[in-house]
Amino acid sequence: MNVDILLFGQLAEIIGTKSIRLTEITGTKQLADQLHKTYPALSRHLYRIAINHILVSGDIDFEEDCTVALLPPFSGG
Amino acid sequence: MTEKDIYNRYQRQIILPGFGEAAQHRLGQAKVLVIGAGGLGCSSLAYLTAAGVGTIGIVDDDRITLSNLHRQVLYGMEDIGSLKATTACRILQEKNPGIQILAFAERMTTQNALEIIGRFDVIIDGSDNFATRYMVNDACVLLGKPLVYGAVSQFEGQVGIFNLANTDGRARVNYRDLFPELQSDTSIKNCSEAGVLGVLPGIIGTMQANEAIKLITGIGESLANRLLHYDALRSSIYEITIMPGKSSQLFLPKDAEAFRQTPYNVVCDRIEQDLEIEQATFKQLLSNEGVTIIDIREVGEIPLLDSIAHIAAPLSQWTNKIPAFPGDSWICVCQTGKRSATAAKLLFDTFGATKKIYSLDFGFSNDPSCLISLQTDELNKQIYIDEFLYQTDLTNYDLINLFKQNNITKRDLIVADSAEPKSIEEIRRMGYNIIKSVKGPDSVNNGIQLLKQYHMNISPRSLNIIKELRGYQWIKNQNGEYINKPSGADHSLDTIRYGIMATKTQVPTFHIAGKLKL
Repeated sequence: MNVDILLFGQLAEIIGTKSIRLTEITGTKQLADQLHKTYPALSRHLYRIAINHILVSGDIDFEEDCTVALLPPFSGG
Repeated sequence: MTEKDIYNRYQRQIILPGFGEAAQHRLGQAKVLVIGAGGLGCSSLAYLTAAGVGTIGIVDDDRITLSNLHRQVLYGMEDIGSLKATTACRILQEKNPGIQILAFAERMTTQNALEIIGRFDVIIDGSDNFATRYMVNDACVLLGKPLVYGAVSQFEGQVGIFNLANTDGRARVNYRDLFPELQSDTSIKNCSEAGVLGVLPGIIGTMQANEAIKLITGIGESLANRLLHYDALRSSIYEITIMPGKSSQLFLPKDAEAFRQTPYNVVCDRIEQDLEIEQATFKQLLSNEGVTIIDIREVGEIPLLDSIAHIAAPLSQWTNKIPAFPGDSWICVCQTGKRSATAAKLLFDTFGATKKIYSLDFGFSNDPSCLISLQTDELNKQIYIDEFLYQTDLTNYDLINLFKQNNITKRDLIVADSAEPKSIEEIRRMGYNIIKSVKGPDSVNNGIQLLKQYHMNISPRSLNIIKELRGYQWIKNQNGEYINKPSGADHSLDTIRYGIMATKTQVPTFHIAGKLKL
């Protein structure tokens, strides 16, 4: 599956880019596992996942060409 | 204001299609509470005031610092050290005398949150820490109040409305549907650690004001159940629809009593409290009641802090038990502000929920900054000394302005006290040729010995140098014998030593030596 990943806040800092396109990714759990393996610092960070603008929970399968956003909490004011 | 004045004041929005006098009247009847009068609060407050929201509450127990001003645009230099809530209240009330503005210059706690929030219709969260955000969220859920959420980090911000059913009737969501549980160990940075683009909270705060105005007047479509993410660097927006999550219910306090018992502060303070205060704030606090100054240095450390009433509590003795002090505001001090920051953190972790804890940034010694020009004639062993500057309470920014006024160029070599690495780096980044002074076990005496090899020529305007030179002498021991240790004020003499030692060890010719002590 080809998937566009958007990274917000400090997550983009860790991965070094605000968006990446990944191939052969099937769902949210596989995505998290792969990202944490490549970027160990990411596992210390809290974030939620949205698929095509909708917040999801649990292990959700991706659709071809969907956009997956990784959103960390913000506290500044 | 007369009816006609009211109409004239708000005429440009009253004539909008779908707005009218009815919407203006609803604004006038509305009560909006803004939590946090920082970057987000300053901008939302300015527009809510201008729009004619009838009653506005401001909750903030913090004071204005110089580093706030790039984004907290209601305030100016003269407000440094003043309370944000009362200062914002005064400024906004002048802008619009036709509305009522209430200042709550207190920390939002589980003990006062329900009472304060309960008095308002719409709540705007512009706070700067997770503890307050979760507390406000939970209070709004318990009281059924719509919460306009906003938050920023570096170049990105978020806005959303919680606790409000949207137009298609979907169940209301709250912040815990997004992040159910307050985390203590996530490495989330706040503004003071990660930085924030000044204009960003301006944009996000204005969006919050817009959402509040839409909610009150009933125009447009609200951001209920949605989170809008804004990236200021790309000028891009990404919206996320939030679905009610099962786990959020697990973490919400079930009633007011459970809310009052929830330890919000304990969970997450470690990651986000900025406890440091500047000299101006310190001076202001000194005159307040209930303020206790705590000298955390070890027994025998000099100089003694005898000009200010204080309690001595050496930090080394805190290992078994963190001490408690009288009063409700505790300010830790040491000479440089480094150990006092550690002490303040320890106190905050133990007493942060009930006491105000501070650390005096840069410490109390507040030595003057000296800027002295040195020129040496090695052949004839002459040294020419000219005093440019001898002044306390200068920031790096002030210093750079003074460099310019004194025709110090970026080519001149500036030697600065190595105890000030942060200042040196900041000035270096401004393009100045600044290096740190050489220091070692015997550097004071070595410097003095080196100086003795020269004949000193001091310009007549170097009044402070002359004064210090006259008072400089070797210390006598109990038997009246001179020991190998100098005494007396030595700020400008330190500066001269730094300069002369730099010529011996690093660079053969130079012009300026400056000691930075802020």
